[in-house]
Amino acid sequence: MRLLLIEDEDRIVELLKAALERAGFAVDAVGAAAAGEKALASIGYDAAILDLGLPDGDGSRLLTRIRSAGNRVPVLILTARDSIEDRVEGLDAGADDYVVKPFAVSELVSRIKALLRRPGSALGTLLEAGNLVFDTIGRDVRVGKTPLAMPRHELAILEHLMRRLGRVVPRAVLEEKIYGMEEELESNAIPVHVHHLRRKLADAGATPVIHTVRGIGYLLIEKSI
Amino acid sequence: MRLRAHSLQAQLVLKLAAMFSLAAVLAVCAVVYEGRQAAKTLGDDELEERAIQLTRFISRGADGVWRLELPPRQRQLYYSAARTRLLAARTADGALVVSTDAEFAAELARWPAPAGERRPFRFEDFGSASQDYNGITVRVQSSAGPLWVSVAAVSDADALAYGIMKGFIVDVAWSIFLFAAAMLAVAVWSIRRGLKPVRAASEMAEGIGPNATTVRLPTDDLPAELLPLVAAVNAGLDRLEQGFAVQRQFTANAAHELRTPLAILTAGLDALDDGPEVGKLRDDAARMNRLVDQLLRVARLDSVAIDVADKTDLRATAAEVVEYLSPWALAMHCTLGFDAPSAPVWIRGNAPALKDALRNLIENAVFHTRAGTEVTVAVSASGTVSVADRGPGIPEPDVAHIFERFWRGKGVSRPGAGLGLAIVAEIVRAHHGEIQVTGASLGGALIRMKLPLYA
Repeated sequence: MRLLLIEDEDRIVELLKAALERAGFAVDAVGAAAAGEKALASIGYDAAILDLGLPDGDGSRLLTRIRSAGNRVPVLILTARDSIEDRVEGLDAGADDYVVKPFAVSELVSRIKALLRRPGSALGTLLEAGNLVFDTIGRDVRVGKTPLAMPRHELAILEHLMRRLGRVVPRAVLEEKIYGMEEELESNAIPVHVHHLRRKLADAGATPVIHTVRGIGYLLIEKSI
Repeated sequence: MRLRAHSLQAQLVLKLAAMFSLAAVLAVCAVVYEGRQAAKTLGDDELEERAIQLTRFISRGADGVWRLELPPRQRQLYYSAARTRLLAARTADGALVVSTDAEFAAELARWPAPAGERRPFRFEDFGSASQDYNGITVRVQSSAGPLWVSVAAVSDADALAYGIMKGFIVDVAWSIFLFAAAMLAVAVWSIRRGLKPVRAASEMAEGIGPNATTVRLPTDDLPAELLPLVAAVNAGLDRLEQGFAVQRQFTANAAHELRTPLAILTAGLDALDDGPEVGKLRDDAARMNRLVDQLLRVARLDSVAIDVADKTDLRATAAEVVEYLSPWALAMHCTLGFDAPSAPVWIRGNAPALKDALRNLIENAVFHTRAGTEVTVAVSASGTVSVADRGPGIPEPDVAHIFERFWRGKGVSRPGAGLGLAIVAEIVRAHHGEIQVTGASLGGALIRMKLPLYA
């Protein structure tokens, strides 16, 4: 999995490169927009991390140019600017995600993984969380080496929670996902499915845990807290 | 209206009132004096006329004896016990021919021989009745040759003058006071009207503060005399605003510049192997990150006027913040819960600013709640959103201070610089909302923001 890091601050490049390499990525780093554009045009990177404040130009203009050239590489913007306008501008320019400095490296790595997990992206077929693995093609789940069988609506819920690992999935979104799978959707269908799913994961010794956010939805966290 | 020594209105009213009182007194004195004079002249003329008339009743018989034969009504007057009228007549050589009163006759006898056509005289404390008399001696041509007839009457000049004065006061003087009152009313009205723009300017000045530096006092309709003052104040405000802008820009820039080195520090600490010291350093860096983050938010809040007129769904806005903060809350060993009505709650507000406010409230609650408990965020259909924790609660004396910038509770060691709740208070104020601090039903603190419903 090859990433391009476009960032002019040497220390950040150094630290991020080390962290991303520890997470199993190959990382190329460039310090300017022009070099970044050239690299993106010549090599098929799986994702790019782009700093907005580059010495030779604004990162969001670089993003607009590569998007209009038809490059669909997932891009995560890294910036010290965090006003709403800046966020909207970055996302409008075609960014897939946005991380504000200062950031936790672990969060950045999981955001990159999330980008790669999106359908059509590098990790799109295999979802991972701790010792839990979900094959989206074969529709099967494993805890470590042990396969874990579950009904398809529980599979659908787990898939979505794993795609949004570490973030809250509103209950209404999960209801939409399993709508049509069941003849009638009981009002407490989602809590019941999540209850079963939780017990199965615990029984199988899975490290990720499903947390409830009362009144909102659920989130999957890699290891229990 | 309160009268003060420096009030233009009070000064004008006092001075005008004094002037009108003085004028009224002078007018009354003048009228009294004139009245006395007029009464005297009138009295003299009347006495002369009376003397001429009375001469008809003086005759000299064939025996050479002068007689006075008054008709009954006149007799009553001239011979009354009160002796209100006196009458005597002398010939050119001073010989008394007739008299109605012995004392009067005796007095006249001491006078030199009469001369001239008309001579007024005055007695004071005269006679046994000790009365004042006005009199006149007139030369009259009687049927028996020229006579100097002296007529006197008890002085009623004062009474007449008094009567005139009374008539003046009753008929005229009250109109002076009416006129004065009308003038005062006009003066007060003009002043009030003239100063109305000044009051309007004062009200605007009330709103000027570090968060509203763009306000300028209106110069329309101001009295010309006050324009230089207001213009100078406005120019002063211009300079202050520039100063504030520079300071805010500095805060924003400083916070901004701190982010990159902080990012390096944070990433560097993340890369280190776990250990007790590393954990503490990470906590320190996280605290610094929060501080810089909040300084930036404050600087932004100060420098940009947020638009609070948008139609915003409070329920969705709050749900988004709860969603966003839940993973962090779990990492902080507590959970978030969300209670809301089933329908959207439309309020008038700025969603990003409200998210900032709610985020600060929730972060604050998470820092204070006991490990393993739930921080409850509740939205009501009446446009409120509250955050309740299960911590120690806020001591009563602290409630007044928690929304001040850089205020931190005594003996509280927690991340943050005491800016979070100050930001919340400013955002709520910008929304013309209310903020309320109470105890939560399960112990701990409950902070509620009330926002205007979108009607």
